[in-house]
This record gives sequence, structure tokens and C-alpha cells, in this order.
Amino acid sequence: MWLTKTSKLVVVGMGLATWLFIGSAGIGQAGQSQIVIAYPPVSNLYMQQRQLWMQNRLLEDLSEALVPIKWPRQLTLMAVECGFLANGQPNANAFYNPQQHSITLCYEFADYLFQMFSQQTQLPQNQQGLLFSGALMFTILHEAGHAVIGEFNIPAIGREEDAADQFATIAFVADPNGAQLLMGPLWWFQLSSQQSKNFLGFDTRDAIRLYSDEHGVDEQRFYNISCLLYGSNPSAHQDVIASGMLTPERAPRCASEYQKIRRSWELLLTQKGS
Amino acid sequence: MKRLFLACLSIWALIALPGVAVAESDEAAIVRTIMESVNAFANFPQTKDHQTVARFYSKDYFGIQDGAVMSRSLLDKQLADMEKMLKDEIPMTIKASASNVRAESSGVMGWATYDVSIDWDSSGLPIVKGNEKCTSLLRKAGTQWQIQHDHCSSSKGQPEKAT
Ligand SMILES: [Zn+2]
Repeated sequence: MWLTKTSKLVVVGMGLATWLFIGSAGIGQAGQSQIVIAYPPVSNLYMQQRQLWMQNRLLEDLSEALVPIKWPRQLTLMAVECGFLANGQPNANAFYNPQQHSITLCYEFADYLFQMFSQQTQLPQNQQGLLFSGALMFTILHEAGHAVIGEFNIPAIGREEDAADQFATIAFVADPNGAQLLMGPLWWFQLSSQQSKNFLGFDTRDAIRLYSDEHGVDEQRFYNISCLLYGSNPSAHQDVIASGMLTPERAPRCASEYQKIRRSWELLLTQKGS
Repeated sequence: MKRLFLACLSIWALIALPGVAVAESDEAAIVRTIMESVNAFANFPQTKDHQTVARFYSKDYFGIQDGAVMSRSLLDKQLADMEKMLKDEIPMTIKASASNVRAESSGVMGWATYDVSIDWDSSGLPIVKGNEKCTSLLRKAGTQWQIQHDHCSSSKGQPEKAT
């Protein structure tokens, strides 16, 4: 069972990342000044969180995901209270806006991830925190992927959501601790696929809603990320197959899939980022 | 990615601080209660535990379905019977889902309107299949919302007899 894999999670001092694929593409000289940080006002509900985020300069640190890229124009990273959806649920979202050249992280989204992982009471709290961190990092990097495609006008052939997931995954596996942290988004997609099945009961209407969404269904995102993780270093990640996170049928193609996707991103970033 | 990681871990830690986590709004909690109650019923053949369904209903619950009354004691009896059938390995499939859930609340009282679609097939019993329009009254007990009363009527598709 793949869930048992996370029991191996331990906090290893997070070595400074060499974000290899961007570093090797020579785009590492970007100025911090290209990233603008914003904390727009919020209602009472998020007053305390906003204050704590500002005091701790959290967005400034999150922007580390964006700094290695030489953006063609200013990009804003902001934390926003996104309110409620029509069904009464909080609007737990994170998104890139190409018109505003901005990435928005909703406080509600951090809450949503917090609720999800803090309910995994079978895990010690530090592991819940690691999974949460991995999932939030993945989200920021996924949005960074959208922003790269949008800001550099990169032609995304195929589904842009898949490209953004690939961008984030490649950034993770380039980091020495990335494989462990990838367990965060993997858990997230696993839990969320269970939840949608429970809530929806999967009749035709639900199937249409899921399959017509611009994102792959959670299971596909799960296996695509696993495949790239395994493909980045098959001999080091045999446990990905052993734990059932990847089928033996797909595994043999993952190394070439990883190489191809990584090369494509490097090529695009080298061309666009110089 | 160290700063990125540490920022995310800090966000975890500060949401975990007492008083920082945002309480779910009452309306959102009511919507969740309705969805979970229907969901618990759909999962009954797997959980085989009537408490997973019964816990959403108050002690003084009563419901009306197309004119027929369901009391709390009747509900408990029906769920207990189903549990026994399931434990006796009598085949049963339940598909049930709630949609269009809208909720309002005032103090400890809340209400919700929603649609339920159900398809319940168990060998030897009539097939229950159809779509219902429901209204529920809920009461807040501590931090939990419980269904105190509901009223459902078939919107289309009548229960049919197994042949
Ligand atoms: Zn996306």
C-alpha cells in the first residue's frame, strides 16, 4: 500500500536546493525585483492570518519558487481572501492571472490543505506538516508553471494543467529532498480522489463533470507525478513501483518520459529566458 | 527550495496555532452535514455500521417522505435491519448522492434544501430508485449540526417493485 511509504518521511535538514534544471538552463540570474509581493486587506475572518503572514514575510519566502526565472515583466505574488463559492464552500484556490500578471494564493486554500492533512491523525503531526508543506509547495510551483507558460508565451501543446504539473514535479525531483516532499501532493491527490468518489457517488453527471474539467482526474495526476519521480532516477526509486504508486506496465517508459519533459522545459526556458 | 519549504511549514504551524484556524461557517457546515449524511448511507454496504448513518440525526428526529412518517425509532430499526442483512452477506448496492444543497442558519437552528438521487437494490426487497426534493431542519448540538426533521417528495421516478 502506497500510504505506508510516508512512514519513512523524516525531516532531514533541507539542503539548499540546486534547482538544477533551471540552473543548467542559465536563467538563474533573475532579479528579485521582478517579483512584487502583495497582501491586500481581508475581512475579520483572516485578519490574524494576514498579519502573521506579513510579520513572517511568508510570501517573500514563497517567492523563492519564482526568483530563479528571469521574468519578462513584473509578476505579483499575493495572498488573498477569496470568499465563498455558490455552494457555501470556501473558495479554496490558487491561480495565475495572465491579465494581471499575478499569482494568487487564497488563504482558504491553505486552510483547505491544513484541514485535509490535520485529519490524517494516524500520522504524527510533524509528518502531517511535511505533507502539507509538500502539497503547498507543489501548488506554488504548479502556478509558477502556468505563469512561465503565460508570461513567456510558451506554446503549451496538450493540456496546460499537465504541463504545469510536470513543471512542478521536475522542480521537486531536482532537489535532494524533493522526492520526500513529493509525497505531499501525492497524498493530496489520493485523498481528494477518495473524497470526490465518496461525495459524488459517481453517476454519469459526476463523471461528465470530472472528465470535462481542465485538470486530469486526481488519479491521473497522481500516477503522472509518480512516473516522473520514478523516471528521474529509476534505480533510486524502485520503491515507487513496490509500493503500488506506479504500475509495472507504465514504469519502463517513465525514464524517457522524464528526460523528454525535462529537456523540453530546459529548451523552452533557455530560448525564452535569455 | 529551502525558503519555500520553511515558509510552507510556517504556514502549517501558524494555522495550527489555537484561534488562528478559521472556523467553518454554519452554512458550510450544514451543507457538509447533508452531503456526509447521504454519503454515509451510500457507503453503508461497505461500513456495515448503522451508527455511521444514525449519527447525523437528532434523538427526536422525524421525517416525512411522500406523506409517510419516519420516526427516530423506526429509523434505528430500519438501519439495524439493514446492518443485519449486510452482516449476513445479503447482497446490497446503494447509489445515493445529494446535489444543489443550499443552507441557511440562525443561531442554533439551520435549514437546507437539496436534491437526492437514490438507487438502492437489495435482493428480496423492492428496488428503491428515484429523485427526491428535500428540505431539512437542523439543530446545532455542540459543534455538530444534526438533522432534526426532513421532508422529501419524489420529483420524478417512483419506487418500483422488483420482479
Ligand atoms: Zn493549474
